[in-house]
Amino acid sequence: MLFPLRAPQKCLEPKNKENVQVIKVFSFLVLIISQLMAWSALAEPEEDRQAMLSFYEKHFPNVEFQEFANGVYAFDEIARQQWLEIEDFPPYEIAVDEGEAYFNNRFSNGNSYADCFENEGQGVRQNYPYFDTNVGKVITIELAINQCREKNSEKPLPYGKGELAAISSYMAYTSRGNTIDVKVPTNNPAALAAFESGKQFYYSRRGQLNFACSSCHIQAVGLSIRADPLSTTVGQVTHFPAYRARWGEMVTLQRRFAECNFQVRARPLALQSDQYRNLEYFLSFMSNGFELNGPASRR
Amino acid sequence: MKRSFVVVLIVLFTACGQPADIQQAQEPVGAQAGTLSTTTAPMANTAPEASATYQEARDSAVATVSLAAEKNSTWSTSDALLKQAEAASIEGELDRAIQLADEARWLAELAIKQAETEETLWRDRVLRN
Repeated sequence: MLFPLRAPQKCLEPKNKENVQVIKVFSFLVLIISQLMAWSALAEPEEDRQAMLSFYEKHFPNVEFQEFANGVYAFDEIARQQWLEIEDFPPYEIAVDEGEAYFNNRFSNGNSYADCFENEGQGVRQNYPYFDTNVGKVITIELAINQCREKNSEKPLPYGKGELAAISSYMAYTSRGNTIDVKVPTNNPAALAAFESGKQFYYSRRGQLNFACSSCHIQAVGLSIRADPLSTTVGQVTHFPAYRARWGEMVTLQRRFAECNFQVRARPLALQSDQYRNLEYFLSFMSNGFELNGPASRR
Repeated sequence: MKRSFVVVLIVLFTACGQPADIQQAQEPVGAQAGTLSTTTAPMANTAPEASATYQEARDSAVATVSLAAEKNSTWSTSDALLKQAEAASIEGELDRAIQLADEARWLAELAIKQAETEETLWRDRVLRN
């Protein structure tokens, strides 16, 4: 054998006190560096939010912060006037009424949706989505509604529209004026990974047209695609579910994600897939501090 | 002035009066053959070898689209082309079906390439203070 083997223990044994000191200092440095790395990773979501707010404040210096919650109506005066006219007879009112009725209906076992949510489901929309540390997944309000049904031996509802969108609309309505307060647990790497995954989705180009969400809502924000002005990222989640005039029905946020994906010629993902939930998590965190104003009407 | 006007008129009449076959001959070769256009249906080919070629092209396209789907980056155009290819094969237009399936596979390959490059490129777009 060319190189004689040495006993492993001997390799690790400190030869003298000086070596012990070196090992101690080294260990201390490793600890400090790992703590700093963890801190920087945890600080990133808030840094991302601040950077985004700063970008839009510079881009739209005359728009007040809370106005971004009104989407393009914050900076497109003509569209705003039309929207305000529509708000005189809001087309989402029927969905709110229907949603209230569905919400108050009891399941076959006698329980109701109110039993599944904090504060009996009234005024809680601002806390969704949240990261469930037990299952290691992001939980959106639509998912929580279906989880409630399944917990009570009811079939889950189809996502995106219909009864589920109506219930979600009612829950959003009871939360109007509450400030979005989505948390990314700073001590949970899985939550940070979910946030990062949503962020990656937002900034990644996809589809044959090679667009990222950010291509429209950051790079080209304020410009128009055909007759439709492009809204800011911040404030995008505040008003969902929304009555979409183009479809003549209520639409959940994730159905809107799917539509965006389809418009850039990407195959939309399943509603409530991990990717869409993570995207909703990222977007909602970006809108922290905005007041909920949903449900709303959109073109 | 008058003379030049008359010359122009003669030239125009001569061009318009050309027989249809001469005008066709002046068309680009590709456009005549329909080789560059996906909307021009080629002659139906029902030969067994064409059917096998279509199946091969379709299987290859479906496999590539599945690979793109694993990366969550399928382009809807691939899906649409595969549907069109299937419809064309049912109609007996196998040459066209093969062409459409090949195009679907090619777009799926581009979708995979897009997903691979975006794995790192997205970070360059993140807003920072």
